[in-house]
Amino acid sequence: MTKAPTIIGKRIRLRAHVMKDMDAFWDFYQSPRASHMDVPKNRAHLWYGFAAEVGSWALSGMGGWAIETDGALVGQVAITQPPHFPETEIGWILFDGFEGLGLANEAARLALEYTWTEIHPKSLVSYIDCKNTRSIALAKRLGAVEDPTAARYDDADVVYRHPRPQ
Amino acid sequence: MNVTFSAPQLETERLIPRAPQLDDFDVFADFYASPRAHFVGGPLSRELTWRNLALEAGHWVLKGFGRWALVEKATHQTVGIVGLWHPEGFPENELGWDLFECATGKGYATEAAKAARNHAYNILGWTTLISMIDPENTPSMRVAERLGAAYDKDFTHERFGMMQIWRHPGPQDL
Repeated sequence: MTKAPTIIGKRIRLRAHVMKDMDAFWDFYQSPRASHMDVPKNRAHLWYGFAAEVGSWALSGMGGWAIETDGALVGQVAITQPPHFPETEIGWILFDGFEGLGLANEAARLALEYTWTEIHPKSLVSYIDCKNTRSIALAKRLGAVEDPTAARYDDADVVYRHPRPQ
Repeated sequence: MNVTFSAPQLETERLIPRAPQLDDFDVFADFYASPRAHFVGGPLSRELTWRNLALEAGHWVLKGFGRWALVEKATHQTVGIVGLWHPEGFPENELGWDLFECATGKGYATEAAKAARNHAYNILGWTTLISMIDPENTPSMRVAERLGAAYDKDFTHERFGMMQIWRHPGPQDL
């Protein structure tokens, strides 16, 4: 079965998730930073989503990476397309205390490069809650453009379309 | 670069246990949409079925053990999923079995569960195993009995509510 490949960047490293990463996700979901997201009700519920993002690699050759800097877990970037997603998505989470440093930007750029060269999706979007201004700002910095006509699974989301590299 | 590992080989008389894979999605979706899935958190939408299949694979990656999809030798169909399970919220390592429609009544759950239990005891060195069973799931209790397991106690799962814990004989009692 396939695991997430390790990708080394300037300041960060993308790596496969390990079991203890789940604690950081649990803390994140208890914090106000998770207010724009579907928050799991308990650790059993969180496990389902977390293990699925890991197992997604084995099933479909894409899934979630842990973002690590200096050995610390700072967030997650994930490429996924479960059946209810009309298109392949790139999503990101940055844990408390690590925002504003450009780490999500660097992680997303590494993931984008891998996606276009190794996964070859037909198209790539980010589904972002319309009130999540910081995430929208990052999508724009990555060169994504809002697509008001794109299909979406949640009406509260805006859809940012990532350009295919020339 | 792809990092891969494989589920250990198990073999039984009539089944080929292998790691769950994307090809299994449609039979999974049929199972989880059916009333048979009532005792295992269903019925589920295709969205949630995807998550369940993905977490079966993720369990292998994160924990180093998991459940095998069962391919029927005679038909090459995936007929169920059986194996070793310890997600967040479970009290101990579990031996679990889900058989899909048309594959029940043939002793497949017992056959595969025995192979998985032998793997747990002989290869992984485990000394005990439980099975968590919905209090109304009498067919599953019959499988547990055939495996020599006995009711131990009740357990309240955060998501599934009240479950019965059935305990299997240890390696020295088999």
